[in-house]
Amino acid sequence: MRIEVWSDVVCPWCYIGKRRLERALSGFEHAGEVEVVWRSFQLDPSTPRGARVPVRETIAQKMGGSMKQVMAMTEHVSSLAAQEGLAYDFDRSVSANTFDAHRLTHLAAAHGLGGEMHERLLSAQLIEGETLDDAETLVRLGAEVGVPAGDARRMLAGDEYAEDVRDDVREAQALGVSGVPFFVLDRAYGVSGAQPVETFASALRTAYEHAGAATGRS
Amino acid sequence: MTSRPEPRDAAEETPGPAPVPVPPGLVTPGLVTLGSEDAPACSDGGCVW
Repeated sequence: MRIEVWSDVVCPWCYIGKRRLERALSGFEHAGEVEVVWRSFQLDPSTPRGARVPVRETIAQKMGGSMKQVMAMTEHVSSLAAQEGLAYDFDRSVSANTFDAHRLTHLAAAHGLGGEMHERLLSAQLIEGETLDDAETLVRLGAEVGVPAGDARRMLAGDEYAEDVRDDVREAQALGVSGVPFFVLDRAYGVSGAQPVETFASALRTAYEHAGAATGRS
Repeated sequence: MTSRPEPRDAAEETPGPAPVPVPPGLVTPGLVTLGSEDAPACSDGGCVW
């Protein structure tokens, strides 16, 4: 079974959804037959590179809310993240254009490290206050999961994997995906958002049975 | 006046693959949607906070 996950590394619900999918997989007896592929999605491709605007300010500008309201919103999602073992730190998070971070994930996937890279980037953005549109930051984060620094620098200096990122975005549009996280199981089923673990578990069973029926697996 | 179709010879039948039961859910382009429609997510308009 193949699960494609459209996700952006700045997306707080994407990290929570990732953890819940992982928990569902840990209890799924056929988890060894499941491949998870991380697909690129940019929530805001117009974010200027290098702007370093605190995420809470970006949220306030986008939603027109007061900082007090924004604090309450981020505290709410942080408390839900904490239930998944994720210690979000919106005090340190800055907005970033994620295009190069997604290119890095594609490079990492070519090294068999796509999942590890996406995990590292989510943590860097949402927990550690890293700046994900800084090239040297991306090189360092890539090296931490095993992507050769030279490969990362070369990639970031050119436009390698740019079309792969755009292809993922176009694919999402073709599938009707307008929000993330979005999980596509065997190109047959779609699961939208950070669903409860039980929903992911049920979706895994449904997709597995469907795949078995289609192939005549006993 | 109605006409009845000629009975078909069983040998002429070409059975296809067994239909796969589709669980209930909304159908999005090419996908069957599972789970709640209201699960929190982020879009270009912002995140559900």
